[in-house]
Amino acid sequence: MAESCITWDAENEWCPKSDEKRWLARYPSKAVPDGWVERKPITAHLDVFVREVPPPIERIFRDEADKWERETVHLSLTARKVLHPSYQAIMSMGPAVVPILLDDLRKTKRGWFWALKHLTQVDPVREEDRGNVDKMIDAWIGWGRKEGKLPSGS
Amino acid sequence: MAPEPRLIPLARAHLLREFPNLSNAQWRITSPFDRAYNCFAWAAGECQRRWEPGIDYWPRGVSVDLTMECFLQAFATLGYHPCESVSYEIGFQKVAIYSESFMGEELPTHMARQDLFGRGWLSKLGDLEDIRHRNLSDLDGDQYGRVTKILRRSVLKAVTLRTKALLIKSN
Repeated sequence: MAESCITWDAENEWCPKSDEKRWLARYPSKAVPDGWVERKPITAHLDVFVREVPPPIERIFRDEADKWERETVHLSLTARKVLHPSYQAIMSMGPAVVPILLDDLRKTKRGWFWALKHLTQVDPVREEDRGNVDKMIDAWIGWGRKEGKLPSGS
Repeated sequence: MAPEPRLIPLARAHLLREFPNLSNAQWRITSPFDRAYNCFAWAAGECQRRWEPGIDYWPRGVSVDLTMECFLQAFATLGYHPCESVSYEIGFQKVAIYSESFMGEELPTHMARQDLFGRGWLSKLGDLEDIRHRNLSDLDGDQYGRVTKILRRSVLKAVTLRTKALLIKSN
């Protein structure tokens, strides 16, 4: 099982004996539904069932973005930073990651300009604003709102 | 959340991990973490915007390739020309270009500016802090490679260009 693409979380973990009412409300037949597997319980008297779910794109993004920042924040050349495997992994998520990039850009000012430019094939930054991080962010956020990539009130 | 300044001991420990040569060097942190400018801008004397060909600000009329020649041309617009010595010379300002070899070409990776009074070199380390370090070799290593070009300009030239830029801006 590839750990990087499978995750377990509380929402998908059930202990029928300790939470029987909830379990029976959802699964009256007491049978283990499709997609659920038994996991070795932490204590012997509990049956624990878990369900495999793909991690949400936001979580993959956050993990890769944090790793990318940790490992490249001291580098000077953007062209070198974007070659990091985590940056490439984020790029490979395709246009679906654009709203997440815009939101992160606004909150952290991390260097997603290169990814945004390549994923959207547009560059809303005016020539005279190049290098001015705040103005570049404003340009991208304005573009995001106009294109419906960000909620207009956000 | 936008990055906040780090405690100096934490920042020092992080920088020592990334740049091991600093462990035997005289150096100190001179500014907080800031993404608003990078080492190329700092070498050019700017802290309001980032410099990098193809991504950020780059002088007009200079090609936007990631080559040493392109960086030499960009800094020539500020009056810098290649020289041999890294030593401090009264009346001159110097910058150093670090690079590493990539497919037979020297790829610029970092720049440092000599302190105006010769008290070492000033480097902005990526998005992190600025530092003042005694020798250029203090940042040699896997991250930036080594210094392969030294450029200098006369202080008079620097003042003339600065005055000219301010006059153009005010008009």
